Amino acid sequence: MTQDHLEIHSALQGDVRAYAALVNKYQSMVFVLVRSVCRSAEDAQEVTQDVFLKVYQQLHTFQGNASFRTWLYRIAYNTAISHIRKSKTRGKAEDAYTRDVTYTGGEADEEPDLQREARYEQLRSLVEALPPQERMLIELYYYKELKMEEVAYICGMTLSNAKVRIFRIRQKLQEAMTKA
Amino acid sequence: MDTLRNFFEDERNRREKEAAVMMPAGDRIASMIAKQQQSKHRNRWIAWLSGSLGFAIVAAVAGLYFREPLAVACRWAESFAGGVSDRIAEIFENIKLTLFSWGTGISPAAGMGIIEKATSEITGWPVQVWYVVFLAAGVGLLLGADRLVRHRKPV
Repeated sequence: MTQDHLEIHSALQGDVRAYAALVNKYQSMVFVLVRSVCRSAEDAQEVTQDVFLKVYQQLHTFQGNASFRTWLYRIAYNTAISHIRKSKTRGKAEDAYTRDVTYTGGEADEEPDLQREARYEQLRSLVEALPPQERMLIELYYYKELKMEEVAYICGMTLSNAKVRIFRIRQKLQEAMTKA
Repeated sequence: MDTLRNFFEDERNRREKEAAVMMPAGDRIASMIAKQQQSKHRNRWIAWLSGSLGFAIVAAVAGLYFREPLAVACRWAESFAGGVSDRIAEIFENIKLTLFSWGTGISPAAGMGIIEKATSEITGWPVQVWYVVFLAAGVGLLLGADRLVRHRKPV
């Protein structure tokens, strides 16, 4: 039994401290994923909190078929998508990829690569124009630690469907890059 | 191709830097969960109490309003229960007599045997009762088959 499973077992027995340890361990991971569709870091923190509250309520349904990390990613994905839907109805703009106040665009001591920055700027606006589901799908695809099957599971798709959609998104981004 | 990969990796690194300055949220979320559970527990108690109280009030008012038909129904139930208990007593008496006759070899002088009694009882049932019996048996079979199919072990 892994440490995660022990902590989940303790949390299910009512040990909230064990759950707090799980939260501390995974909060950055969840934050990084949901930040890709949230307009600000504060929004992303709020969604991360919602994710962990939801996870606690659904912890008894975790069967261990997938790893806890993958299962958590799936809940984070769904929570972020529903958050985006709600914020769209409230008329908020989604500008997760545009620079906010906290973003400095790289290390201060690095020599600025203007050409790369321009390309990234262009990519940011392209990715921002994608629907949130596609945005998160392509994000997850570039996570080194996730297998393609896990990405499909997180997004609630079949493996073949996920592959096709990723192929189309990459094609779309590359075409837009070459046109510009 | 590499541009895309580099872009997404850089974006992820940027967000990881944002995440690194976040305070650990474990204790805060744990206290929120504890509060939620307390309020859930309290709400459940309130729901149970108000539900029970509401039911008691409705039952009392209905009892007062329908006291005459209720008295008739109670009398009918009483006579029905009396009839049923008489039947049961009779069946037990028959069982006792049958067991006695098997044990001693002495046939009781009075009345029919238990099997005959039961057979005559069942053949006397109206057809509607048989419908219900067969319907219940059919539903039971279907539920049993459904359970077997659902809980079958993978080969």
